[in-house]
Parts: sequence; C-alpha cells; structure tokens
Amino acid sequence: MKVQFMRTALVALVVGALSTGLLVSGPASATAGKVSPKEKAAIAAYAKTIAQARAAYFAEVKPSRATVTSIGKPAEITRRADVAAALAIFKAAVSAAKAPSLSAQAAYKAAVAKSGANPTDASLRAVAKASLVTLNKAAAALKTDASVTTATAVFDKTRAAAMATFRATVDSAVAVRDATQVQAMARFNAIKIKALAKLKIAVKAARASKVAKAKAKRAKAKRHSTKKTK
Amino acid sequence: MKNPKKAKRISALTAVGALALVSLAFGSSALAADTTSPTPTPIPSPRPTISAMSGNNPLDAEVDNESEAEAILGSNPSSLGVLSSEVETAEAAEVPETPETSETAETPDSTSTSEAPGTDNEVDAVEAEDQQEQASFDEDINAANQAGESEDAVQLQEDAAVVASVTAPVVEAMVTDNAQANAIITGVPTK
Repeated sequence: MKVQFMRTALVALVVGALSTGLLVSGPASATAGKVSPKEKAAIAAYAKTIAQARAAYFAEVKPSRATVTSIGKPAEITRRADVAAALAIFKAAVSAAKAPSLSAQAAYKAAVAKSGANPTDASLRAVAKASLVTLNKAAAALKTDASVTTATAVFDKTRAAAMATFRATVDSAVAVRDATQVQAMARFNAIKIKALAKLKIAVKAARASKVAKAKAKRAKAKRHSTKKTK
Repeated sequence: MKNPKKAKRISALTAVGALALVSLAFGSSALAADTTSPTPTPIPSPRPTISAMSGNNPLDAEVDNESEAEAILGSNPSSLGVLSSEVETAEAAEVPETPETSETAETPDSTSTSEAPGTDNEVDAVEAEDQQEQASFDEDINAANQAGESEDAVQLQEDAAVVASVTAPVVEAMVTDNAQANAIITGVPTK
C-alpha cells in the first residue's frame, strides 16, 4: 500500500511538473545560453590580446600619421593659396572673354520679353531674332577665344606645379607612413590569427566540457531516480 | 470512518491531489521564473572606439573587425555579449585615451577641405556663377520652347554649352586636386 502510494505520488509529481513545463524548461535548458566560466575566460584572454595588439598598432601608426599631417597641412595651405591666386587671374580673363556672350544673352532676354509683351509687333520679334544671332556669334567667338585658351593653360600649369610642390613636400613622410601602416597591420593580423586560433580551441574545449558535465549530471540524476523507485 | 480500507484510499487520494497541486504551483512558478532567464543577451552593435581613435581612417577598419571571433562564438548568442563586454573592458584597460591619441584623431578632420583657405570656396563661387548663367539660359530655352521657337531653343542650348565649357574643366580639375591632396594627408587611399 505504501509503495503504491509512493508510486502514485511520484507519477502525480511528474505529471504536474511536466504539465507546467518545469522539466522541459528546467535548469539544464535554462542555462544552455549562458557562457561557462571557461569560455568566458577564453574570451577575456582573446579580448586582452586583441586590445594589446590594437594599442600596439595605433602606437606604431600614429607618429608617422602625425608627421604627415604636420608637414601636409601647411603644404596644402600653400598649394591652395597658389591655386586660388591662379584662379583669380583665370577668372578675370574668362570674365572678360565671356562678357560679350553674356551681354548678348541679356539683350536677347530683354528683346524676347518686349516681344512677348507685344506679340503682334513684328518689328520687336525681328529684334529678338537679331539679338539671338548676335548671341550665337558671341558664343562662337568665345569657343575659339585665344585668351580663354591661354588663361586655361596658365591656370593648369600653376595648378599642376602647386600639386607637384605639395607632393614633393609630403612624399617622403607619406612613404614612411604607408610603409609603417603595412607593417603595423601585418603585425596586428599575425597576433589576431594566433589569438583567434587559441580562442577557437579554448571555446571548443569549454563547450565540450560543459556538455560532458551536463551529461554526467543527467546520468547521475537518472541513476538516483531509478534507485528510489526500486 | 468505519471502513479503514476506504479511509486509507481517501487519505491517499488526498495526498496525491495535494502533491499534484504543490507540483503544479512549483512548476508554474519555475516556468514563470524561467521565462525571464533565457532572454537572449542583446548582441551589441560594433563599437565605435577604434574609428573614433583613428579619425575614421578606413585603413584601421581591419583592427576593429571582430567578425571572425563572432563566427567562432556564433552558435551561442550569449558569448557575443560576453565578447563585446570583455573587449570593451580590455580596451578600457589597455588603450587609454592619451592626449596624443585624441590630438592625432582630430588631425585628419582639421585638414579637411572646408577648413583650408580658399580653394574650395573659390570652386563653390565659380560653380555658383556658372549655375546662375546656366539658369538664365534655361529660362530663355524654356521660353523659346513655349513660344514654339524650337530652333531658337536649340541655338540657345548650344550657346549655353559654350559658356559653360569655359570654366567647367578648371573647376573639375580643382575638385580632383583638392580631393587628392586631402586623401594624401589623411592617408585614405584614393583608388
């Protein structure tokens, strides 16, 4: 009778627990997403290595970058000032060359407006047409204007020279910076590859150990419950 | 209770019922507690620390790339949360923001074209002037089209193209030069 009662009670417990999900979402499955201390330690070690490698990388690349900046900034200011001066000369030449076309266009605009206000006036329409011809001629002249060609050539020459001077000023510092960058990145990558390999092995081992522990715990619990029912 | 057998059966059934109720209560409370625990740890977005340190230099992107580590930890979302917090902790400990670091981080921005004297503003001024001229021509072209003078419109378009062609190559060359010089200083590859 006592044994029967115990059996019934056990069944009731199991049914109750199962019906509410205790066994399904029990401690084992609830901790499945948690990171084991071993895995956490592996991640921490990886993070430390990477942080150190990052620090080393920036310590290596920053001085040469700073050198380029300290040389490049004033060189760029000079270059832009030279170009701006050349542009001012170019603009003056071009404005003069463009002037006939732009004034012809303004005249055309005014003539069209007058003609539009008096659509029946054929003479106004003729004036508008004539001003368009003037504009076309001015544009054609501008297209082949030697002063524009000369101004463009002078500007281009100054611009190219300014750029060449700038490059000559920064080139050696840039070369050092770029070489340092390549070296630093190679060093960082070598450390990272090693750290990743270590992390991979450690995480695999930590997870395997976690699974083995859980298996052993389950087996022990199973043995315990079988003994009790007997 | 005259019948002791019946009494025993009743007491047994009561005990079973009580046990079932207790287990039910225990199970549901465990379940309720359980619903909160497996909430996946939110995976943090990539940290901006490296880019901020390096002045957003794309050459440093590789140093901040943790995709391989994330791939290794990928099967367990919680690991990624741990990874992120561990990396941040390690970085806070190992990479102090020295004055030199922040100074060099600011440098590329200070060489940006907007702060440099002249040329970009000059480019803008030339472009603005050109746009004004072209807008004026566009007005005339539209008016000619509306008046049914399509031949005039075509001629006006040609004239507008000639006027624009005078400064356009110069502006283009200046923009290219400025971008190139800026790239040289900041170390960002131009190609």
